[in-house]
Amino acid sequence: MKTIIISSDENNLKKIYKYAEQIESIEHCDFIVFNTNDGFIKNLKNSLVNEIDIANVDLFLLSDSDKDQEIASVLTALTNGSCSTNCSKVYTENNKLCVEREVFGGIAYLKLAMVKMPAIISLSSGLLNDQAIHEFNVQFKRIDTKIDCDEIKILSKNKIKKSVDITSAKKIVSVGRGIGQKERIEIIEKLAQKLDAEVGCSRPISEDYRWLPIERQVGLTGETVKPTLYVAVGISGQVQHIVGMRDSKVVVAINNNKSAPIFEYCDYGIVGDLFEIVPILENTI
Amino acid sequence: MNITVLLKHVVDSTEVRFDKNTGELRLRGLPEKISDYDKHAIEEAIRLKSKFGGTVTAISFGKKDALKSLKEAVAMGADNGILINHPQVDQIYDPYYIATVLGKVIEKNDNCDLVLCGVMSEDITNKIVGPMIAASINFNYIPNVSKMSIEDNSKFKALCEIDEYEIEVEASFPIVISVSRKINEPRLATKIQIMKVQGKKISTISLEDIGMTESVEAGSACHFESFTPITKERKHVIFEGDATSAVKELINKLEQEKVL
Repeated sequence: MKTIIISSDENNLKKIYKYAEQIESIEHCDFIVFNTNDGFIKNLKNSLVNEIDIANVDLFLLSDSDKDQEIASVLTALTNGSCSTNCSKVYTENNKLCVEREVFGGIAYLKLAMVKMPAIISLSSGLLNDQAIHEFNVQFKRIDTKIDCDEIKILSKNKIKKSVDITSAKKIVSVGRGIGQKERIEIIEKLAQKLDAEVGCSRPISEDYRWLPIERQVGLTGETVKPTLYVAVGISGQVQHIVGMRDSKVVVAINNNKSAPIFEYCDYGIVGDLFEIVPILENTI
Repeated sequence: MNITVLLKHVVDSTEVRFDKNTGELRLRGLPEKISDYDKHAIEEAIRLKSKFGGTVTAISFGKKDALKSLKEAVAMGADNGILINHPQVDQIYDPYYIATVLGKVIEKNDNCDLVLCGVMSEDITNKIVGPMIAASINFNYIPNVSKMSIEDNSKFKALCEIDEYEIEVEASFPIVISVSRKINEPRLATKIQIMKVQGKKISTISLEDIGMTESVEAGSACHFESFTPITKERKHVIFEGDATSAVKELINKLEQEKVL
């Protein structure tokens, strides 16, 4: 398959390349860093048409960043190919190019065969983060987006500062709705401190009650974490939360409801009142 | 100001399970609803309308069941709804086909200034139908908008997040916007309000009406192969009873695992 790996970000390009080495059917591969220059979809479209020979390409591989998704949209519209996003696996089976991606809040993989060439596939950030960037000694082309219309003007642009990055934490103590009151989160923070862990939370705590900042949210709409120890306190274990912590090495659950789904996803669990257990745990460690 | 809001009628993802006997993914007989992300788009459309005037049309590409969600959108405050009916829509996993269908209806609905949608659907989470619609009908597109205000009938300001940057933009219509869940708190329509929505406010059209065919093959650039469960083996050692001894046993185990 004649392949083009294209991304708005050079680091992502390298990670995609690293993964693409495992796709056997790729025969020829070109690399393009597509500087979007804060351009929007119409700018991207014009620049793609002018700068890239998209004819006779079988496969485009991208990341699932916002800008790459826009590039994927434009490529699909231009080539009328088949597109699938956020894929965690790409492979050839019986001469068919197949992808797998998570659906329904992460309970299932959906397997699709890309039957119309070219295939335009974006890879999930989870998959790309697992790719160690190694030596990258291939030539890549750089394309600059021309900003040739003023339909969208940028008034200001600021890097979003995250006060904490729980995705790199080795240990996480996460708190859920079971905590009941904002003031009571203190006991979770104390336990986390004792364990040298970061504090995480489920969606209600950050999105509904706003007791903790959104960057501590673990789950489908929050961060995906892979610590060696994940302690879920007062979290019932909705699939949307599980997706974000599923790849943790050891999972501990503390919940007063014996039939809470979180116990299906844990290695060790304590059924009981978190206000009794958490302080004992903190004092015993 | 003509606002189009797109909504997907979905099964509640939190209820989706594999059937223990057949091993099949069970998608029937589950609670159904408007995809959460789209609810924020509906709310924003209604707020913009009440502040700046105009009409709100809700569009859904779905089965007959989606009529319920369109009625809910009208009960929330949309002026009318359009169902693009496709009995086998569940078998279509090609986002560009879906975007093409929606794009054609948007184009057919004259003078659409603003298309609002959720960032993604909560079931399949492609996160690309919005930009694909923009690419297919040559509109611009702004993702993850968390705040917006209309300046006059041709211009607006928006705050959006793009790849770790917070960006404030001034843009002109027509445009496609995907809204972030931070943008608002969607209002609730009661069951009675939804029931009271007059049938004539919702029209149903077919793919033939927009010059497309209804065959599933037409929408199968991505051909469905299978659903497989995502599993992770866990030990499931559960301690109950006296808290102090349960904690001791837990710490014991965690020391054996060398994770403390």
